[in-house]
Amino acid sequence: MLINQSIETTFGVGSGETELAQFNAVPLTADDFLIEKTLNGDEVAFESLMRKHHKRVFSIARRFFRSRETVEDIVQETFSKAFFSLSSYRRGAAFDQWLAKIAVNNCYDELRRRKKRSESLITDLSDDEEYWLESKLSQSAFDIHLSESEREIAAEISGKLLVGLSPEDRLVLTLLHAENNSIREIAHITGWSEAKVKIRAFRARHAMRKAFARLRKAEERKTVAIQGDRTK
Amino acid sequence: MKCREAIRLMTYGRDAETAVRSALKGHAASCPKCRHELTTHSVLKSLVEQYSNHQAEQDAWEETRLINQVRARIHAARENVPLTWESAIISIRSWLFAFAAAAIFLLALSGQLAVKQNQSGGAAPQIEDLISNNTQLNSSRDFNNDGADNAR
Repeated sequence: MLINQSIETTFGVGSGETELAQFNAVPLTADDFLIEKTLNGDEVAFESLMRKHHKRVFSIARRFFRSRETVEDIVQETFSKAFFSLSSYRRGAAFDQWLAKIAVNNCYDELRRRKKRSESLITDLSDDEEYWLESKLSQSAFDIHLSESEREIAAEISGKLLVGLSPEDRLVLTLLHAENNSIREIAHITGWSEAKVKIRAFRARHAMRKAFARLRKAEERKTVAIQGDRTK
Repeated sequence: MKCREAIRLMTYGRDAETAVRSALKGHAASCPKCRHELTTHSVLKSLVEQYSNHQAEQDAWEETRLINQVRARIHAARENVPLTWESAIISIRSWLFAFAAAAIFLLALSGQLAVKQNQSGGAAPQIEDLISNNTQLNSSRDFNNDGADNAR
């Protein structure tokens, strides 16, 4: 809903009519108003945008990376890229989605950089982790609830599981399962077609199942070896 | 619902949607294979969700620090952006080196030729003579060949 009047009321702008006259065709949001001010050289307006949206950007980056430095770097990079691309932002569109798109792309680039440097280190499951998995796999699919201590174990297993996946697989799985996006939303964020997202999602699911089976097989081999040593 | 549809819902569907949940639940009750598949899927999904949750809940994100860092980044980027003509030169720098090398080589070559020409003054007419003789020979040869072709 538009409306110059509401923006004027919110921001206390008296001469809003003249400033916003050129945008009468599309419904403007409060973000649009701040963007317009930023484009006119008002840095404080951009600070307001940062204050309003940084939590969302931070939460996206945290879905992909654990290191605080990396997360901070991605948040800063996202906002500085957004600043320089503000003129390409279409008025009336959702600014938070536009920003999320930049953030996700930054995360994807970082994942690819890391993959090139092969920073992945696959390790076996610990006994606690294996026990946790066994207990969860024996429950009903709709009864899986995690306590605080279980979340820590799950996070550890998750790190071991996701580290072996390709950046594309991780991107799709995270957007689908952690961010709870639909196929259409993922297509919008990544710029891929919906068909491509579906194929990617299917492959990613398959890759994750394989990685999961590998992790568990390694654990089984370890157990068999220990039992063999004991019988000797 | 068939197993295929259940797998499709597990892959693309959103568990948060009640319709998806109830459809999957209904099918899993009567299909042991899909029940097992659904449990594994739920465990894997919760693992993906928990990837970053091991950290203590986000400590107060210092807005001011973020703003200052972003501002510094923007200023640094602005300072590092070269002027238009500078960026144009940078983009063709490698070609410029190649052109410069080629130009130096051509200059040196033409200089050498000029020096040689000056040293042996009558060389040019001799070359011209050779060329004209050669063309005469070629044209007479072509004529003979044409005659031979016609005869055939």
